[in-house]
Amino acid sequence: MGACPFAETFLQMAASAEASVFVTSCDQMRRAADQAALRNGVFLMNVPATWQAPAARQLYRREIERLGAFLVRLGGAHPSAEALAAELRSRAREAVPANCVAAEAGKLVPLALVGESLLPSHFSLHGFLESLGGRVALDATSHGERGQPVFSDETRIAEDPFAAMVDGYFDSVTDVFQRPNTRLYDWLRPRVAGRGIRGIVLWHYSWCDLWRAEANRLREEFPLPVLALDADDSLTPSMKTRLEVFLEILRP
Amino acid sequence: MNAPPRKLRLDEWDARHASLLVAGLREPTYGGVLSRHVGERGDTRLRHLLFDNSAAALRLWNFLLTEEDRLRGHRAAGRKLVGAMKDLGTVPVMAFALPDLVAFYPDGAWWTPCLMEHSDGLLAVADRLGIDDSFCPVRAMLGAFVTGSHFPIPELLVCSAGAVCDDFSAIAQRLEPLGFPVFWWEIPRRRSPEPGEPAVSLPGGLVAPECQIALTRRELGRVRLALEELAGCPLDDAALSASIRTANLVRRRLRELRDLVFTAIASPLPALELLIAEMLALHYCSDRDEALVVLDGLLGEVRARVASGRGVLSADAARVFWVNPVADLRAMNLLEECGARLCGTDFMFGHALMDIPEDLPPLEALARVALADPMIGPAQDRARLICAEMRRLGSEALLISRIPGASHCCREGDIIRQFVRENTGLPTLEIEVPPLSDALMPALRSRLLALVETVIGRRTL
Repeated sequence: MGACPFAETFLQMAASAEASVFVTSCDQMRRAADQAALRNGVFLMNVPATWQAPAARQLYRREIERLGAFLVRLGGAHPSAEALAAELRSRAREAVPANCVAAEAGKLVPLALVGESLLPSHFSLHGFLESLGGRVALDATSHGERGQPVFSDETRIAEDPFAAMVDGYFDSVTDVFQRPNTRLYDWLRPRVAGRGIRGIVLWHYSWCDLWRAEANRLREEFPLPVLALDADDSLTPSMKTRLEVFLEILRP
Repeated sequence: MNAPPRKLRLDEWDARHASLLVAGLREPTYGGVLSRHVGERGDTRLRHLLFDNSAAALRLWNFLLTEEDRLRGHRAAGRKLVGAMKDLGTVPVMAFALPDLVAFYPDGAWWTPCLMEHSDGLLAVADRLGIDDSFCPVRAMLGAFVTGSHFPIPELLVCSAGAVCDDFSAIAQRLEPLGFPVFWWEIPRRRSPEPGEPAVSLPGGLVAPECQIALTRRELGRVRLALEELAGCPLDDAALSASIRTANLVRRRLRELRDLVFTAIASPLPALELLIAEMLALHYCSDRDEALVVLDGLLGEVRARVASGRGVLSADAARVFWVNPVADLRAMNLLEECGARLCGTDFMFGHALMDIPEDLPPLEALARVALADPMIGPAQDRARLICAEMRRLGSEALLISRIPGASHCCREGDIIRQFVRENTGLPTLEIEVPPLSDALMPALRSRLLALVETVIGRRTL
């Protein structure tokens, strides 16, 4: 019986940490947190799957406050409202990664990378794709643009930074585990069209049912070639071969 | 009608049915010979199962196998159908409180590929929709929705989200773009209260933070509004409380039935029939009153067998606690063929067997039971409940039936086994049972025989 390489890697890293923070967004991470709890201090943050009712925002706020208390117990200090607001403002100024701004591409084929976050062992992926004549013009992985909260309401930031964090999450972060996950597609549609995307790489790990189930939906939504890549814990020869063939098909 | 308890093949049941009729058996409208379900519905798996020979078991099987007819009958009578999904036991209590609403679990389609031995084609439909065999067999539900040939499409689909298994959530989400909108409600992942945090005791003995109860109560309030809109009338607390009381009647019968079956010297009911009976707790097989009658019949039979010391298995059968439901019903027979019997179960819906508090506001009571779901909290919580039950019942081994493709099973099984080993010292075994396990039967048999041998060997130590 296998386990998701992402959750497994995270679990291994957590084993050597004094404490670890997991989230409830998928089965594998929830159960990995159970397993980690056998060994050391674990915080499992309950991130709601629904977003349409006020209860979801209330739950999220309570959870970030609880996380704060956990961090304080570890030796951290309560940030002042001003310090928290300043942190949010600094996040608001961060730009979208340069390689994702537009499909200037030239001779490179603009691709959307959709799915779960890459592991450090996958960081060579972008370079590998460029060596094949492609470029990630839309990074829609969980650690990419899609997962970055936007803190734009200055009044909210100044008056209640915690509320601004909640708004930043619910109003700008979309993910596959949200129910319904219509917001994910609402987010993808204009970006796929606007950046001239010509192919989608769906990056999902073994045992990741949530992303794997979206492969056909992506094909239904976008009239583009979709490569559903069953990612291992490194960029394996088989994954590379599939990417090579995908780019060979897409290149003019 | 009081033949000694034993197990029968399907063809033997025809003769048994005839003799029961001669002896004066009176059957409900859905009654009849069991073998007709093979021809009428294509439930060919029945030919490979062994059944209890009581009239009560006959009624149970006929009740189960005619549910689709019952649902179509409800619709023809103008009642509206609610497809409750994933919460396993909570939403139907609310739906049945309203006149002219009937709830059922489309999740139950996961047994269709087994019963019809894949002639239904449901898994092939799911394959075409991108939900292949890397997902749990509940993907058959997707095929059932698309083909519309196994249950009438409900007017309202209500699915819990959050701390639910990813397979189911992904499959239910796949329904939406196919034209089946879903009403989602949040069930938080149950956690232990922080130091000093207000907490509430849940049915079953677990504890949860008060804020999680409040959240669940509010979410069930949203479900209530959706049901009211469908029914066209308000769902008041009095009606909800009455529905809770009736649900508790079902649950109490099931708890008594389970205790009798698990603790009798000779098991008075086969594992297969017990599994089917437990399923009645979820949505009463779409007829709450009849479910009570069916359970009363089974209880009467089991009480009589226990009183007379008669059972369907040898008294020295290895006493096994079974975890998770099986996609292939044949596996329940196999357990007994290998010399074991059920002595405790956790088919993933222990909360549906617990009493819903009757002395609380109804939504509060339902929220507490929903949060007692063994699947939405830490695997250690579930393991602790299993250990307590194993001690209470005198179980001699733990058997975890892994669900193929289920994303929660890969770690959960290990955690539960380790916990049970450390806390009871009893042997544990994990098996995996696909919807049709014929090809794996020799390997499954060998594993079960080894478990039984281990249990028997320990008795002499």
